[in-house]
Parts: sequence; C-alpha cells; structure tokens
Amino acid sequence: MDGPEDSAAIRILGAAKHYGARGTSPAVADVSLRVTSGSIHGLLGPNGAGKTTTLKMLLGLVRPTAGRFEMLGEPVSPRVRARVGFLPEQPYFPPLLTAKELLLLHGRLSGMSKDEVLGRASDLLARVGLEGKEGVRLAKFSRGMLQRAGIAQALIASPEVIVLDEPASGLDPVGQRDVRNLMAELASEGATVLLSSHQLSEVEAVCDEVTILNRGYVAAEGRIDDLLGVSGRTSIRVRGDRAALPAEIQSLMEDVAVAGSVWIFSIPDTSVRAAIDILDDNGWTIESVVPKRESLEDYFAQMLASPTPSAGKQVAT
Amino acid sequence: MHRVLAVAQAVVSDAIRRRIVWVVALFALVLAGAIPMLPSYGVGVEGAVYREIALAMTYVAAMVVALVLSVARIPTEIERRTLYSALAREVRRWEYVFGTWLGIFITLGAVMIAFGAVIFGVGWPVYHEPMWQLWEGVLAIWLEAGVIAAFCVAVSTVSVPAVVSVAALAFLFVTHVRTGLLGGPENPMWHFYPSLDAFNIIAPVAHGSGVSLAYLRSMVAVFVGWAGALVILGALGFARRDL
Amino acid sequence: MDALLGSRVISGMLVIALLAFMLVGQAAADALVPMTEKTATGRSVERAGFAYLTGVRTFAAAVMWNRLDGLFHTYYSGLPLDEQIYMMPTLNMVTLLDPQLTQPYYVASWILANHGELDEGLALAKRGVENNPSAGLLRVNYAQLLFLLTPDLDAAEEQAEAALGDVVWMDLLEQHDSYAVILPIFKKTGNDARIDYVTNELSRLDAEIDRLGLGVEHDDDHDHDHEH
Repeated sequence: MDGPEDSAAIRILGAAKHYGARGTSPAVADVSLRVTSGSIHGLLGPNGAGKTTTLKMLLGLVRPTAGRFEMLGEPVSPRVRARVGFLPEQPYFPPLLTAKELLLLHGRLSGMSKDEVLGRASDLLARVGLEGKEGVRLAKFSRGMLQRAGIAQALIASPEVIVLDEPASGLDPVGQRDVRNLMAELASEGATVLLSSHQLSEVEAVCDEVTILNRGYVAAEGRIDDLLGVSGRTSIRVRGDRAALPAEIQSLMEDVAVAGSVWIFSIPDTSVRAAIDILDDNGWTIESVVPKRESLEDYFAQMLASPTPSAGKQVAT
Repeated sequence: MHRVLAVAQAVVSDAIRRRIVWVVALFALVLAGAIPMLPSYGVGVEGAVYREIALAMTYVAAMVVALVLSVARIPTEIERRTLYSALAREVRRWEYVFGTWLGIFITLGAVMIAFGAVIFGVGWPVYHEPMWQLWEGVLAIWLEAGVIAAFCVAVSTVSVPAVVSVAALAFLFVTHVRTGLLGGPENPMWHFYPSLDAFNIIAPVAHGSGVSLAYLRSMVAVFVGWAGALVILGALGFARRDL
Repeated sequence: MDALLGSRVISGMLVIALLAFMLVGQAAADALVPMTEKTATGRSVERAGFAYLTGVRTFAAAVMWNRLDGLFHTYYSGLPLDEQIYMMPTLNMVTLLDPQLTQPYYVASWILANHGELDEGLALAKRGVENNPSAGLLRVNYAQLLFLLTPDLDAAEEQAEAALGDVVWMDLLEQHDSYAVILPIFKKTGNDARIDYVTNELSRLDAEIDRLGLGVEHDDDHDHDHEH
C-alpha cells in the first residue's frame, strides 16, 4: 500500500490500542492506512471495529499502544494538528456559546486572529446551511444544526486535512446531501477528507478509496469500484407487460428479480449488445444498463460473517 | 499563550451565562443587604460585626461558585466530547487545563468584585464609614477560591464530579485545621503544614485595621505556589488520560 | 513550557518548587499578622471539636463561641467586658444553637443591661436559668441583676436561695465569688440564717482555695485579673 511519500496526507502504520491492565482488550489490534492527498477516504466498519479509536489516536486524543502516525508528511504533533480540522461523532458544544463564539473559540485555538475569524464566520456558517444563525446560542440548535455547526468549526481554519467522524449523523436527507456536496467541494479545493462512517450509501457516493475495519484489523482497502466490482457481468433493468422475457435471453440471465412489470437481471458483458437488440425488437422498454457490482451492504455482510477478523482481508489497487 | 486565553475566554463566556452563578450572587446580595437587620437585642450591630458577617457570607458564596464552576467542567466536556474538537487542534493538554482554570479564576474575580461592591456599598451608608479594608478580605477570598478551583480542576482531570466534590471539601477541611492539629508556631511542623490559613484575614479586617502590603504579598506568594502546583499536577494527570 | 511538562521529573520538581514557594509565603504571612490568642476555653473546645462533630448544632455553637473567645483576648483585650457589643449577634446565635452553653447568657445579659436594655438583659438571664436550672453561675447572675438593677428584692432573694441549693459550680473559685455576690442580698433582706450560712461557707471555701493553691490558676489568660 505504500506509495510515494509526498502523495500521502495521512499515514498510519501498525496502530494498536489495548485497554485494561494487561492490555488484554484490544480496541485496535493492527491498523495501517494511507490517505492520498486531495482524496476523500472512507473509513468503514461496524460498531466496535476500531474506527473512532483509530481517529482518536491519529488526533492525539488517545495514547496509542503501538503504531506510527503521520499527517502532511510529519509525525503527528500539535504543530501538525494546526492544519487539521476535526468533527467528532455527535458533537456537543458548550450550549451557552453562540455559533459565532464557537467559531471564534476554535479559530483562535488554531492561531487565527479575532478579525480573521469574524471575517470568515458568516460565510462559513452560510456554507454549512446556518446562514443568519451567528448570534443564536447552541442550546437552541437542533441535532442537525449542531452537526452543521460542528462541520463549520472543523473548517474554520481552512485545514488541509479534515477528519469527519459520522458527519451525516442526525442530519435529514437534505442535510446529508449537503454534507456530501461539501465534502466533494473540499476535495476539489485540494483538501484531504478522511470520513469515518457506517452509512454505506454516503461512503459509496463520495469516497474515492475506503479502508474497512473489522474487530480492530483492516479487513479490506482500496477503491470502492474495485472492491465491489463483479467483473464480466452487466445489470439490465427493463419494463414490459409480458409474462416472460424473450427465450434467447433467458439462457443468459442470472440474479433475476421481478416487481410488477419491471425486470432486473444480469447477463455476461459479451452478450449485452445482442441482448439489448432483442429486447428492443420485442417491445421492451430499457430503463438502465449498468456494470453489475455488489452492494456495499452485501460486501459488509459477507465480511462480518468471516470467522477471523483479518482472514478475509482484501487489497484492491 | 493565545490558546490559553482563548480557552479561558470561552470558559468565562460560558460560565458567566450559567444561571447558577447569578442565583448564588443574588443569594449573597440578599444576605448582605439583610445584615443590618441581624438580631442584636437592641444594642445595635457595630461595623466590626458587619464586616465579619459580610466577609463570611462572601467566603461561603465564593466557595460555592468556585465548586459549581470547576467540579464538573472538564468531566462534562469529556463526557459530552466538547473538548475533542479543541484538543484535536494545536492545543496542548496543559494549555487546556491552564486555560480552563484561568477562565474560572477570572469569572470568580468578576463575581468577587460584584460581592465586594455590594458589601462595601451597604456598609458605608449604614455604618457611616468607608470600609476600604473589606477589599483586602475580598482579595483574600478570591485567591482562596482560585486555589480551590485549581484543586477541583486538577482532580477533575482524572476523576468524576462526585469524587471531585468530596475531595474538594476534604481539601478545604485539611488545609484549615493547621491550628487544631499543630497548636501553634511552637510546633516544629507548623511552617511545613500546607495550609490555606494565610487567606483567612477576616479577623484583622473585621476587628483590626486590616493587613499590611507585605502581608498581601505573602498571600499572593501562597496563592501562586498552591495554584501553580495544582494546575501542573492537573496538566500531568490530563496529559496521560485517554479521551 | 512543553519541554517542562513533557518530563515528569522536571514537572515534579516544578511542583515541589511551587509548594516550597507557597510555604515561604505562608511563613511570611504567619509572621506578619498575629494569630488570635489561644485561651484555656479555646483549647478545651478545640480538643472537644471532633467529639462535637456528632452534634452539628452544638459543634457550630462551640466554634462560634471559641472564635469569640479569641477575638476577646486579642483585638478587644483592653475593653471592659460589658462594652464588647460586637459579641451580641454571635452570643445570640450561640444561645440559640446550644442553650446549655452557660457563659453567653452571663456575658450577654450584662452587656444588654449596661446599654439601656435592662428588660432584654433580664429576659436573657431568666432564659439562661430556665435552660440550665442547675448552673449556679446563672442563678447568681440573675440574682445580681435583679438585686442591683431592679427593686424586686424578693425575686433576687429567690434566685440567691436557689444558688445555695442543688447546683453545679465550675470550680471552688466560681462558687466562692458567687457566694460573695449573693451575701449582700441576704443582708438586705435581713435573712440572718442565710447570712450565717453563706459567711461560714465563704470562710470554708477561702481555706480550701488556699490549701489547693487555686487562686493563681484561675487567672487563665495570665493578665492578673480573674476571668469573667
């Protein structure tokens, strides 16, 4: 997985965290990951997989039992963290502060002057959907608004690396879409985003690469398409008021699903053109033709069923 | 230092808006105002009694405010994860502990100025004398409250609020029983007993003519020693803690 | 600062240095302001302090009285007892908290009586007797107030008579001084039997005090005055 040093915004090598007097309870057993600069990297895993502990070790909130942590080409230190923004899972901020005061606090903690923070606060709040809420106390914010305020504080110092732990938590569908768009914008501006989430649709939608953790180990890593892709087959969705599909196609079909007049099935890539022609000639309406791949949910379920946590590790490059 | 001040400012902003501060402040104001009506069998309450009771009330109120502000501050921030986003920045743990204590100390200062203004303002017209020495007493109480806050912050970096509260009360007790345990300066351990008695100047302020500038300097030295040591211990405890 | 706090050894040394600085400041403060003088009463209350913890009310009264004692002997040592008005709120509180602590009744009733509040003073002395019927000092105190400051000679004699009954004295000196106080009451009423009895008792007590050498010990603050 090691690539050129200068292209890695985050590198974690052999991270481990054991709790308990004899270190018998590993929250993280052995995690290594590399996040390419300017990418959106997903950190996936079920509850208890070690995602949050890994992030906390990276950010200095938890002392690692073992491992090496680097960001932006340097070992992690308070100096490097000045260039990092972090949104904790389900953030809860001092309720009696206003949104502007929250940004002022975090901006000043990052070395910004008061004027710099105030100059940026309104735009940033508008960017996360909190336009005009500068003077409102956080106690009056809803769960989703707090999440947005948390994202704003993570971005106040224009960080080069942004670590988001479950950023869509508590957000409605519109809010989730806004966050996805924001992450894409940040990446297009050159920032590196490390996204920890168990919302697979969110990760699928925005991440370039993922690392999947299970029981403290890296279970899989690589590009999502590579991890989930099933080579050689294409998924076709058609509509038609018929009892059965043309006989020429039936011999090629697999994974058939029927709902009313809609049929979904997969066929070998080599037969796609011929199959389309046949369906078209027989009056079927073709709704979609996409490369068939496994859903992240299916992939996840298979991985969790693996008897040993690291046994099923896959690397897709 | 700007990060320490940023943390302190946030603590002040948050603390000053906590209603509990103002409930206690109101409590003290009412009592300070009621002091001239204390039972006296008709022979009157003289200025010395007023000063003593006013300072005693101020002391109790200051201790309550110090405990309220400091006992749960850091444990709550850990529990609610409010400090994650701060400590994930270029903020050292010691800066967070120091800033938190400093914010509480500044808040206590503001509260003490309010208390002092009230007891001074009530005492002057009622007893026809400006009791300037009251401010010496207020300063002493503020410094002692600052030490108590430092103790609470230090213990709270490694423990829960209930334990911090009990520990703070035990600390107050132990640091005020030097006379009871050792008798007086004739005891060889007298000068080595860690005590907060230096801040107890209610008697000379209420019944004497106050304390000298040299005494105030000594008191500040005791404060710096106590608060500095406790904040460092808190920082050390916090530095080793997994959040 | 990072370097300092990064090393546990250096941090520990810094803590020790700061605590030493604190102790130096404490020693300087000790030298600059006199402690309130510790008296026999104060020491005895202090010794009993932990025992009092089982009864917060009486403990609080003892602490307040103990504190008053120190002030009396330090900041107001040159002032006659009945001029020490500052004590009044505290004395009132002490009698409320611990009605069985006898001395506050004695002190407060005279302060009140000498400041134009005779009725209040008498009422307090009477309350002291009611709450502590076997305290000889309070019987004599009430009798003396009635005798010297009111025309009610019968009431004064009634209290003096009670002081000769089944009452408790702190020591022989208190008993001697109290008998000396009530003797004029019996002389005024012409109660010859009591005059003879009290006179004989005074002689007996004098001899006993001399034999035991108690006269000097009673001066517990060493100011060559009898207490109270």
